Amino acid sequence: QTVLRLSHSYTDGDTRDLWADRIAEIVAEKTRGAVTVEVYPNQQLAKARSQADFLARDRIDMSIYPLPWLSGKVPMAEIGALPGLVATPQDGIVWRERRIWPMLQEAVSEAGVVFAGGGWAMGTIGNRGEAITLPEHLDGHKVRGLGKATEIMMNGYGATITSLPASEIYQSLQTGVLTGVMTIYASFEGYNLQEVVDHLMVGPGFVGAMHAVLLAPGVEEKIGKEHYATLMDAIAESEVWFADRTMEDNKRITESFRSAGVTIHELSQDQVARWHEAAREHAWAFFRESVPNGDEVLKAVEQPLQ
Amino acid sequence: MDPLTIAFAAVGILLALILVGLPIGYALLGAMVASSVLVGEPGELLYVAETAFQSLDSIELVALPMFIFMGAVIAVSPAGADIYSALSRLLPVPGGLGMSTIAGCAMFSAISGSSPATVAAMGSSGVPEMLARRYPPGLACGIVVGGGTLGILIPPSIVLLLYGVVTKTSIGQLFLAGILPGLMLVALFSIYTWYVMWRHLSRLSPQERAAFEALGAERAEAGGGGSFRRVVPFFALMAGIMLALYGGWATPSEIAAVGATASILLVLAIYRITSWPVWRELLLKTVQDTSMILIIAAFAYTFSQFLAFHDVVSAITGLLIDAFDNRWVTLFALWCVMLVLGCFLPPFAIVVIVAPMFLPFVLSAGFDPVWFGVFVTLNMEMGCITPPLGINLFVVKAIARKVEMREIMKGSLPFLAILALGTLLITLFPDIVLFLPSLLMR
Amino acid sequence: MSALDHTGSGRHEASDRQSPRLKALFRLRRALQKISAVAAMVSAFGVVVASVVITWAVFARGLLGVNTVWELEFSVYLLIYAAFLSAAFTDRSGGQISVQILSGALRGAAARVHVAVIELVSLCLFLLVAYSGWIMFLHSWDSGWRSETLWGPPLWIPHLAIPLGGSLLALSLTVDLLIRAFGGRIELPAGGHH
Ligand code: NA
Ligand code: NA
Repeated sequence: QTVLRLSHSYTDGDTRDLWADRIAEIVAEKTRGAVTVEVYPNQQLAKARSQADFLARDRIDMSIYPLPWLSGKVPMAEIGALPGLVATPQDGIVWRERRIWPMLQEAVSEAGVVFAGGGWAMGTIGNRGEAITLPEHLDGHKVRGLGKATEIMMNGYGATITSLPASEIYQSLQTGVLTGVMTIYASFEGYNLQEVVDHLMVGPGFVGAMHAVLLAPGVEEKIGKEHYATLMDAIAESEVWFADRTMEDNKRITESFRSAGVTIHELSQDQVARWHEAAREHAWAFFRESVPNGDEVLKAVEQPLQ
Repeated sequence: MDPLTIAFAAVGILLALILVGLPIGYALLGAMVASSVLVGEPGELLYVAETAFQSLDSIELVALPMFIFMGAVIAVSPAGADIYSALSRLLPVPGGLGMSTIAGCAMFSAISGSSPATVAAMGSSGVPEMLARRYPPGLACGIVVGGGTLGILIPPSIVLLLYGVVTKTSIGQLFLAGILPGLMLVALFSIYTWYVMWRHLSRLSPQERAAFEALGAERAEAGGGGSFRRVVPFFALMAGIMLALYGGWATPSEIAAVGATASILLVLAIYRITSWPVWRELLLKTVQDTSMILIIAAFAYTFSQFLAFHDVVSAITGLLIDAFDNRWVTLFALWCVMLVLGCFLPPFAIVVIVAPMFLPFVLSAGFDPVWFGVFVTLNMEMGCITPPLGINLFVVKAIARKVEMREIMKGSLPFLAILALGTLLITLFPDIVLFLPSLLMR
Repeated sequence: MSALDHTGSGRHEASDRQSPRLKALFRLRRALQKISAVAAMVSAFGVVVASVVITWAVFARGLLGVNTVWELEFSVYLLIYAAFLSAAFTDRSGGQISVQILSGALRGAAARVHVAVIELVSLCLFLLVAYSGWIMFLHSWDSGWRSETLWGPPLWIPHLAIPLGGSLLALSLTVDLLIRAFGGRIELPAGGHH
C-alpha cells in the first residue's frame, strides 16, 4: 500500500479541500486501497506558493495549485487567469480535448512538475461605491486583481492597481485602501467580503482561476504504471464533480451576499460580451506580448485534438 | 520512527542546543539538521536556504523591521521623557506618579512594538523620578518592568505580528484584540500601585507624609511648564498613523513603514537630532535586531516544517486532546509549558516555535485563534519579567543601577501576578479580547 | 549594549610576540570586520529605503492614483538582504540572542573551549546555509525563473541574499576559529539578553 501526500493551501471544508477528498475517494476505490491519497490542507506542509517547489523535488506528491502561480517559471501558465476564455467551469472541462492540453502539459513540465488536470473556479468583481457592471465603470477605482492579465485589463480602463496580500483584502476594502476586488467566489465568501462590498456582479462569467492538479515527477515510479493511469483517470473524473460543485457554491454564495444586503447585478449577455471585448483588448494583448508563441496558445484553446 | 518519538528527539535536541548557549536562531537550524540526519533524510539539508527564503518571502513580515526601526527612532528622541513629564503632573492621588508612569507606558506602547524598548523609554525618566520622590525602590522598578510589558500587547506589537504571520491570523484583528486587555492591565496595575502607595503613606507619620507631599509638589514645579506643548508632535504622529490606517490610506503591512518614515521626520525636524553617531548607532541597532529576529523566524520555520512533514503537529494535537480529556486542563498545561519556556527564551522565539504547534489543538478545542494570540502574548509578557532571561528586569537594572536585582525582582512579582490574573480574566471573559475585533472587523 | 562595541577588538592582537601567521589572520579579521560593518550599514539603509518607498507608494496611490505593484515586494527583498547581509556583523557584535547559563558558569580555559565549540557549530551550520544558498541561487540563475507578480523580477536577485550573507558569516567564523587555534585571543562582546 502506497501513500501519496496531497498538499493544498485551502481551509478545511473549502470546496477545493472537498475536491482533494473526492480525488482521494475515487483513487482508493479504483485501486482497491492499494494507493491512498492523504490530504494536508491549510498549507500545513508548505507555504502556499512554495508547494510547487516541494513537488518538483518529490517532497510532496500532489497539490491543488492555482496555475497562474507558475507563471514566473512558465509564462504560459498565466492563461489560468486570463479573462475572456471561459464563462463557466464546464467550458474548461473540454480543454482536455483541445490542443491547449498537451501544450500546457509540456509547458508545466518545465517547472519540474506534472500537470495532471485542473478545474476552474469562476471569479467576479465586488466593489463599494457606485456599481461596477461594465469595464468603463472601473475608472477611478482602486482594485486588486486575479493575476497579472486581469490587472492589466482593469488598469487599461482607468483603475489603480494595488498589490497587497490576500489576508489584507477585507480591511483594505473596509477602510477604502481598495474600492473593488476581482477574485473567485470562494474568496468572497472566505474573507467575509459581504460585509465590506456594496455590489457584486454575477451571472455568466468572463474570468476564472484554473486550479491545477499537479503531481511530483516521481509519482509514476512510486505507484507503478497501472496505478498511475488509474490516478490520472481519477483526477479527470473528479474535474466534473468540481465543476458542478463550484456552480452550486457560486449560487449559494450569491444568495448569502444578497441576504447580507449586497446589491447583486446579474449580467446580461450584452454586458458579458463587453467584458469579453475588454479582456481581448487588454489582457489578451498582454498575454500575446509576454508569452512566447502566445497567439498560438490562444488559438489552441479552440482547436480540437487530432 | 513514530511522530512522537521524532517530536521528543527534535525538541530535546533543540532545548539542549539552546541551553549550551548556541544562539537561538542557529539552535533551531541545528535541531532541524540533526533530526533530519537522525530520521535518515540528510538530502533535505540541501534545501535549508530555500526554505529559509520562502519563510521570509512574505509581505506581512515587512512591518516587523519597520516597527523595530520606528521604536528605535522614537527611543533616541526625548518623546518618552516628554510624555512622562506631561503626565506626571496629572494625578494628585497617592501613587499618582506611579499611575502616570503606567499610563505613559501604555501611550508609548501605542507606537513601540517591543517590551524592553518601552521599559527603556519610560523607565529612564520614570524610575529616577519615582526614586527621587521617595517611592519604595522595588515598587518604582516594578511599575516600569510591568508597565513595559504593555509594549507587546497594545498595538503595534512584534509578538502579535509574528503570531499572525506564523498562524495566518489577521494581524489587523490581532492588533485590535490587544487594546482592551491592555487597558484592563493598565487599570489593574494602577489599582495595585494606588493601593501600595496608600498603605505606604498611611504608615508614615504626619510629618513624614507632609515632607513626601512637599517633595512631590516641589519636583513637579521644577519639572517646568510647557511640557504639554512638547508632547504635541508625539500625539500628531500617533494621530497621523491612525488616520493613515483607518482613513483608507495604508494597509496594516504598509502602516509600519509610514510610521517609521514619519518618526524619522519627527526626530529630524522637531527634535533636531541630526548627529551622525546617534543615527549610526540607531541604524546598526535596528539592523541587528532585524537580522536576529528574522533569522530566528526563518529557521523556526525550517524546524517547524520538519515537524510538519513527520506528522508531529497532528500527533501533538492528538496527544493534547487525549491527555487530559478536558480542554481547560489542557489549556492550563499549555500555559505552564509557555511559562517555563518564557523563563529561558525571548517572546518572539517562543511564538514562532510554539504557536504553529499548539494552534491545531486550540482550533479543535474550540478556542478562537485571535483570542489565543492574546493569551499567548499575555504569557510572553510574563516571560519578560521572569528570571533568568527576563529582558525587562535587565533593562531596569541598567537604569536603576543602585537598586539591587533582588529588590527589582521582588517589586516585579506582584506585576507578574497581575498578568496571571489578567490571563485568567480573559479566559473567563473572552469578550475582553474579542469585543473590538468583532465590532470593527470579522 | 551598544551595537558598536565590537570595533574595540584591538587589545590582544597586534603585539610583537605574535607569529606572522597570526598577524596575517588578524589583518584578515580586521578587513572582514570592515566588510561586515559596511554590509550592515547597507542593510540598514535598505530598511530606510523600504520605509520611504512604501510611504511614497501610500501617498502616490492615495493622492495621484498611481499603481502600487512593486513597492511591497521590493521591500520584502530588501529586508531579506538586511537579515542576511548583516548576519556576520550581528553575530560577531553579540547581536544574536542566546541563553548564557553555561557561559556564565565557565571560567578560564573551559570558557575559551566553550566559545570555540559554539563558533565551530555555528560555522558548520552557516557553511550549510551558504552551500544550499549557492545551489538555490545557481538554480534560479540558470532557469531564468522570475517572481510571478506583475513586477516579476528575476528570482536570482533576492535569492542571492542568503548565500552572500551566509558566506560572509562562515568566513568570519573560520578566521576567528583559526586565530583561536593558533593561540590568538579574541574578545567578543557578550550576546544574551536584549
Ligand atoms: Na505596542
Ligand atoms: Na523570562
